[in-house]
Amino acid sequence: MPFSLLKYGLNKDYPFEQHADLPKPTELKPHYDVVIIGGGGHGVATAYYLAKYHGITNVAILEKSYLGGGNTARNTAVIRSNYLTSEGVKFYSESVKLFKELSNEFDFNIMYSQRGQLTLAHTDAAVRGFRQRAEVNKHFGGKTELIDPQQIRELVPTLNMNPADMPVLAGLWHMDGATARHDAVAWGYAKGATQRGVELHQLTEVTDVIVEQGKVTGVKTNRGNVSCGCVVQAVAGHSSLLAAKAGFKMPITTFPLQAMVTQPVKPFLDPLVSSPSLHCYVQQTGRGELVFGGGSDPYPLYSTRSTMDLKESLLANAVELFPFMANMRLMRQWAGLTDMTSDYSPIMGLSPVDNYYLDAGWGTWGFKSTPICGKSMAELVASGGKVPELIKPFSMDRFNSFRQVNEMGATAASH
Amino acid sequence: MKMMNCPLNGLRNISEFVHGGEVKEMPDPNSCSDDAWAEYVFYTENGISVVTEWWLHAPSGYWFIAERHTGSDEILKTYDPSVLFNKRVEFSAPVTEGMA
Amino acid sequence: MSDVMKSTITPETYLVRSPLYRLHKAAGAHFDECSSAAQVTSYGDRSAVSTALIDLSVNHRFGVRGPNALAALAAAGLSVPDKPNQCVNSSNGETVLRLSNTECWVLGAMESGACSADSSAFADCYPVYCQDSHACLLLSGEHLPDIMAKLCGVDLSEHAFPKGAIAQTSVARINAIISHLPDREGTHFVILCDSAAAEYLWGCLLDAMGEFGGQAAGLDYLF
Repeated sequence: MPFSLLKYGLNKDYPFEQHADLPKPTELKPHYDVVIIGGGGHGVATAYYLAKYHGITNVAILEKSYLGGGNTARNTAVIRSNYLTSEGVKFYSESVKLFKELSNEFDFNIMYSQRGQLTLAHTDAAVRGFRQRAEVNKHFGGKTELIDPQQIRELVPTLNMNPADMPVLAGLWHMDGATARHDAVAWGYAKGATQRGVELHQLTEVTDVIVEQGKVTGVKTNRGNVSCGCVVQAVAGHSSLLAAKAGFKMPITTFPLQAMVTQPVKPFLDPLVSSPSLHCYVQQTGRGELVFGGGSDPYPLYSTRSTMDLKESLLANAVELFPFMANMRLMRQWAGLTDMTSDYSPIMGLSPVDNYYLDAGWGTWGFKSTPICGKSMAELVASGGKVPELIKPFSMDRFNSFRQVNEMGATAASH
Repeated sequence: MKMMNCPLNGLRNISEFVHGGEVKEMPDPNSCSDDAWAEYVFYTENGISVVTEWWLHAPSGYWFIAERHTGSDEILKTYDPSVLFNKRVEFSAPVTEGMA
Repeated sequence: MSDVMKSTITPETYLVRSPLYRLHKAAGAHFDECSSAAQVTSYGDRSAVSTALIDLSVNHRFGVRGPNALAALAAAGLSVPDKPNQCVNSSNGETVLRLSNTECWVLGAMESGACSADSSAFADCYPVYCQDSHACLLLSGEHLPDIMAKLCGVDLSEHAFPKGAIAQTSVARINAIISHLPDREGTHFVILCDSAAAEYLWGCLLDAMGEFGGQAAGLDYLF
């Protein structure tokens, strides 16, 4: 046995902890400048950018479960910016740019893999919509174009060009489309944030929000009360529930979204393929598994159960796209909770409570916005409530002035 | 498959039904503030509790009301909307100056 | 009608057509005039077929709804079922389907295809147009509950779905109204579905009937 290994074996301190990605848990302090509720990708990204760009490090991230264990772990890890509205395209394309650099920035491999995303049109109306999306994307510097069936065949030779008797007429080819390891994104941000002095408190549930004279002054948790200068709420899937504790309602309805993964096979599918008409998207992970997702469940529910009927309809369509998949076995199935807004755009910015900032309404477009949302929320917090131009269109009060940002390109599988 | 009891058609697969949102009291669209209308149209309770909701039985085009728990998905009861709404809601356009 | 005349009757002769007329023509069906449209009389000799699928879409039908609907139909001499989701035959051969507390559809007499009135005759009711919006198929013969069980989640066997019962449900994933016709010998299900889905449902029903020896047929099968 090498001597060094014997030394480790006899050592009281486990040597790994000196190099651990996250520091050991500590006691809660009585006061923080910023409390971020929710230790998912968005929450830790906000903390990271607060520490990195604004020097604000007296920050606590309060997570009721464990780091990245909520919807950060449940999404299907699609990164793209081929949206429809100019507000949406500007916002998400910033996110794609940030994602590309994250591994280097963190010194932590987020397994970013640019594959391109292909969305299929089966109707003339979809072709027209895609043409518009391609133009809007190009206008804002994205790499998106309309391609014909021959080009689709070359990109994805295994694709059935006549699925469910709905011939593929054209495709929206989004070269910036990518995927990344979702857990690694949360861990990378958490590592970077905690190294700069931010505290991550897992298993710390916020049980109430303390509001005095219209202004948030602290939170109650299962580990005691904490006072704070301001609060960022980043709890996708539970936004309305937390907002109710702060004393206001949100324009959000929460639906489960189901997804599943097959056994691994040899690499055959490079791009991410989706069909809004068939309510289905498919991608192959780096490990060779196929990930499927579809539309949200048909009615609101706070439950992450899987249902046979949704699975049946989703898989029927997936098999139409790639008939040979009929013989594959499913390995895992799960569901996340999607906070849907009626215009399919997120809610970021101010709330009816002073110093209480919203990062919510992330429906099915939350993971892909993680970096830019964190960066924008950090700017908002650091400036003491001055909303950055990029996220101004996404304020919650857009609903009160009837200025919704109608984002029909929000989901790869339509709702 | 999960099933729901339609007050008109009896016990049916949940796939025959369409969710229609929380039952809320509608403010008078001609006299209420923009905030009150936005509240009615967009904002929801969206809690984990028993909620009173509109549902449609699609094959018969029949709207009814269900009380359902949004955590357990248990459907507690379903009933005809006449239990809550006993007269037709009439809409009238606001009188605008300069219109004949 | 002479044979020469008969051969000239095609669906295109009339403005009123079934959403399935191209399919019937392509399958070599014979047509005859019925309520100002071409009705399929036969698909060749199918008299020995155990179960038949017959397209009655060109037959007249109309609907009325509203608080006065039931009383208005009764005043016009039609029989109205006591409860929703039931159907009864009127003395003139029309069948009244009660689809909700305050909505009824009236199907024209099967042989003539005609209705004695239409929605416009009922001034104090809301008219419900169901003529061109819907296709009307008749499933007739043996094994009907078994055939339907392949397509539909509701139990349509005799004890659960007797003569005079209606089920508004999903058939092969599309919405449909299934009526078990009263007063008629044998088992007859009238299936009303969206006309845009008629061709799809026609194919689904024929496929489901196949193992029981069922086939498409015309009005000759009944009369």
